[in-house]
Amino acid sequence: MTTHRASLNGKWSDNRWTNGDTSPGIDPISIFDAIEVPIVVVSCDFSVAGFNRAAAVLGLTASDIGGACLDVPVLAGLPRLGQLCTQAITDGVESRADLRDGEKWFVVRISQYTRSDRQVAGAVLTFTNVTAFRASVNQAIYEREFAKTIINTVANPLVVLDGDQRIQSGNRAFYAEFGLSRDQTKDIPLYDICNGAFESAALRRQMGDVFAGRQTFQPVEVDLILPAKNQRTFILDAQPVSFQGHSERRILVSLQDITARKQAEMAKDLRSEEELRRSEAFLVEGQRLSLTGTFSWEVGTQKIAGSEQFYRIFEFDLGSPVTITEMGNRIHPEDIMLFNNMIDDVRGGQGDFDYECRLRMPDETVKYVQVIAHGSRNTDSRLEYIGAICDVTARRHAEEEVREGEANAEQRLRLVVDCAPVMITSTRPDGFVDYFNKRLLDYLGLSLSDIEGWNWLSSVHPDDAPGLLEKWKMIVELVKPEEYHEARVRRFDGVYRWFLHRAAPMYDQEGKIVRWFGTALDIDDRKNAEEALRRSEAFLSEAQRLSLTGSFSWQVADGNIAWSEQLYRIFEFDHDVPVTLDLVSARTHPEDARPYQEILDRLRRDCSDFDFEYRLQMPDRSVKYLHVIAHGIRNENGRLEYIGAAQDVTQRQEAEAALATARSELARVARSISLGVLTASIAHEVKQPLTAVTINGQACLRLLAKHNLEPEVLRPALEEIVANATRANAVIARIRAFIMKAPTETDDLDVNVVIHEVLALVGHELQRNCVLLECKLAELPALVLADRVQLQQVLLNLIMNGIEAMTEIADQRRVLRVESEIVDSGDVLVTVCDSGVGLGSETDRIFDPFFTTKANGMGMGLAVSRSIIEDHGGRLWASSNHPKGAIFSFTLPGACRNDS
Amino acid sequence: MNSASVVFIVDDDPSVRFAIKFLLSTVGITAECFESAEDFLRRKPSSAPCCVVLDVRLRGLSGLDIQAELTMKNIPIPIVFLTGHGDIPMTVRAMKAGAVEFLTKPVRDQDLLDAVRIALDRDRARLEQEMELSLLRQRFGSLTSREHQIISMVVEGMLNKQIADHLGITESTVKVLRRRAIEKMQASSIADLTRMIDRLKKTSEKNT
Repeated sequence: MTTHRASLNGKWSDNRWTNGDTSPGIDPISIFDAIEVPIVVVSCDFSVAGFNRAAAVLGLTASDIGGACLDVPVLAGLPRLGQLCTQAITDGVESRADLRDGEKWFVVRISQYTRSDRQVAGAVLTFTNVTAFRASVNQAIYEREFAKTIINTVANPLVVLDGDQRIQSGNRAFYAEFGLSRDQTKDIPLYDICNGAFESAALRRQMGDVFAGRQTFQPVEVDLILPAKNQRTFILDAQPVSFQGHSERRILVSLQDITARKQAEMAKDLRSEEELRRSEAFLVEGQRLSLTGTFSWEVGTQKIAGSEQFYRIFEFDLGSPVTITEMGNRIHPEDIMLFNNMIDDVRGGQGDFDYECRLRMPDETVKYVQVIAHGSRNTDSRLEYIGAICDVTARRHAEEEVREGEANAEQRLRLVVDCAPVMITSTRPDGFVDYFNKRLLDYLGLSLSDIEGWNWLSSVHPDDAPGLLEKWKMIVELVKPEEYHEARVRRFDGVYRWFLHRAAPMYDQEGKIVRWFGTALDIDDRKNAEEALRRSEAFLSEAQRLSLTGSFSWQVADGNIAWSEQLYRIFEFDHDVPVTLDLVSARTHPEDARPYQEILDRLRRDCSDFDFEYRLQMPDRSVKYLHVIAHGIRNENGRLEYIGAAQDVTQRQEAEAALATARSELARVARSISLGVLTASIAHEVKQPLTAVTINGQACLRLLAKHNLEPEVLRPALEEIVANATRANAVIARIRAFIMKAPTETDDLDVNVVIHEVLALVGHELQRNCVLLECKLAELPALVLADRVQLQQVLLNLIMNGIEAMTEIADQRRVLRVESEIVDSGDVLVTVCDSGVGLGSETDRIFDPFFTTKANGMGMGLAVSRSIIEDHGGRLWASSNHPKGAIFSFTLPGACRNDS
Repeated sequence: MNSASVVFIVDDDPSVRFAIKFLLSTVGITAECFESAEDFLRRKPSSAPCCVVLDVRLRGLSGLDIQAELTMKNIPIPIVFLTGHGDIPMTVRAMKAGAVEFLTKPVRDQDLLDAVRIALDRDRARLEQEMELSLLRQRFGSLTSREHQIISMVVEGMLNKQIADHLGITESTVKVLRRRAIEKMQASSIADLTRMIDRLKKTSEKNT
């Protein structure tokens, strides 16, 4: 083996094949290298002996020579190489193996290598590249499988026929749909399956033509009865199929189930037809009646389908189901027969109908409706009425009114005339009155016969009758219509009222007067108003005089002043002198000149209203108070004008001043009345300093007790004590001064007048407490020399005490008696008696200061009163009244006694 | 007397203010004077024991108005009324509204001093109570929620074992927590603790 290899080696040159054993003319190496199939020679010891040039594609290199063949990567990829080589070398068995080298596929043939001397020298491996072949085979397999899958996945049944139109194969859908198996159908003519449903001469002929390639197939519809699905309709299409390389032709038949589509189309056709039929009917009916509801009624079913308007007319709830019975319930009872007849006719199939009937709504209103319907048979060949219904109530009413109107026109006119708010008469051309309307007769309370002709004059006021008659005659004779005349006419109750009388002629075609129409309008209220106005104007001027009010107007721009008569009087101007602003201003009181001028300036500046009071000074230096109110307007020319009124309020002002004086006096008195309240205040004022004195003193004593004698602590306290003691003293002095009101202003007074003054003050109190006042005063003036206010204070005190003493008396009359008399000594005696609780056992103490029986009193009133009276040289005492109450009396020395 | 305490004097008469302040100074009581009710109500609140000597009759708001105002504002300052002339209804009204004393002018020094002393004592007691209560609240607030639970059960009279069962913890844990809580509350005994909790409960009820 070694020699073989060595010799072989030796024979190959250029690291490849060096064959010394060369035949002349043939170079085995070049032949070997020229073969494009890679060849590798493996020696008996499985080493690589050599390879040709083509083997380079396998990646063999010179360095592989002499190496173990299994070390060469590409050879190592050959399964069972060693075994195959051994078989080849030892047994001469040739074998094949598939080798994959990257993308390439090879078929390796391993055969024995014998040298020319027939010696087995090893194995020869030839590598046939089968890559392309292999790929094409794979593709074919793949495509076949793919087609098969697609065909089987197609939902439509597919079947392949041979030239005799016998079934060769079908797809899954075919077998499943037709409930057949492959074996059952193999070589069975198409026309034998499905009970020969495919049998048709036309189909056979078409198939034949298609197979022969004479024409393309026109799809045909085939109705089949399938085991699971009853009747189905298919579209059958066919086309010839030929396979490359095969002379045989086949026909591919596809079947498409169009049953559902067919049914849907049919249904759609049916439905749209139906709808069209209906809508046309609706439309037709709708055109015939406007404002119309439509309905349909399938006679067999009771049920009525209605449009919105239909529901509205019948006043059914929109959308609720309506039956013919419900419809019947709405029919007016008087028309129900008609309705029922109609229904019977309809049920009997009596064609179309058109009639009017009345409906009665739940609220009793009546409607007129017109119904038009047209009967037809629908697809179910059921009788159906399609119709329209129109509410014609308004039209009917209008028609009725017209009819009525025509019949009653004359009657109505009379009614109108009678009802008219004016009095109407109708007169013959000569003036003879032959008609009075009802209103006029009612007014007069007479009948036509009473006043016919010229008798009506008796109803006219005697003062007005001649004038009216004259006028009337003039109108009639001269034919002067539209003349007015006012005259009073007696009413049925004898009252005369003013009327405006008028007459108008009625002409015939020739222009001749055939009648006169007269009207009389009640103008009494207007007449009265006019009268009232006239009177009120008169009143106004009178009122101005009485109220001392004058009116004026003042045009600012040109200074024109219109002055009423009363203003002349107030300003004491001479009537002949034209009033000017200067003249008016000159009357202004000097003290009011400035405010007057300010107001005047303001009025000139802007258009405003004003309301002010100022004083006038007359030439005799007397003063008048004037209250002026004015309203500013801009007239058409935009000019400012004031219109106003001025009132002489001098008297009022004087009264007010007097009142103010009285008030201040009253205030003084009132201050005395509130003595009770004052005492509380007084007590506080006194107690404050006393408290300070006490506490400071006590605190000092405490310090002394503790021997704490620091002067800076004690001094301020002691100073406070002194200051407060002084203060208390001052308060007391003030109170005394207040009560005694020194110095006393004595004057000759009539006690009776003072009593009246005080009673005027307490009038309200008396009334409030329901106290009856009995006053019995001296007839002559009871003159005394006294301080008016102090005397008032005493009287007030006594009277108030009396009133208060009676507030708790509920069961008896409360009587307060005030008396005055001049006693024999010439003194004046005044007594105030009440019927109150009385004095009890306290009579002696009541004049003590601070004695009180009242919850709110301070007990000062009587003490003060007594001191006042005693200051005046009089006496004040109390005694009991019988059966109840107290009497307070005082005397004052009479002033007259001094004179006498 | 406690030097920290203060007496407010409200009187519209400066002499009376001076006198009362002087009297109080002789017994070592500090006083602050106000001329009107409005001035007094505007004062800064004091944390020291205090009371007010109030004249019924003042310019502006009266003494009785001040009393009503203080009650409304929940300011529990004791009041000693002083009046020039008091009628019975006025006195009754003032006393009913919680006045310490109702004195009439001129007043005896000892009566005034006694009234002021009672008023100050009352306020001091109130302050002490409040202080104690706030301390209690503070201590109670320092407890953990577990300690709260345990304490409330202890106060209800539950035994450690019961508490342990109820809370699902061991008895020894209860003991530890319980001891810690009592320490935190600074209670001397369970009875003491119960009293504390009762007080806290009462005040919280009053506040709600």
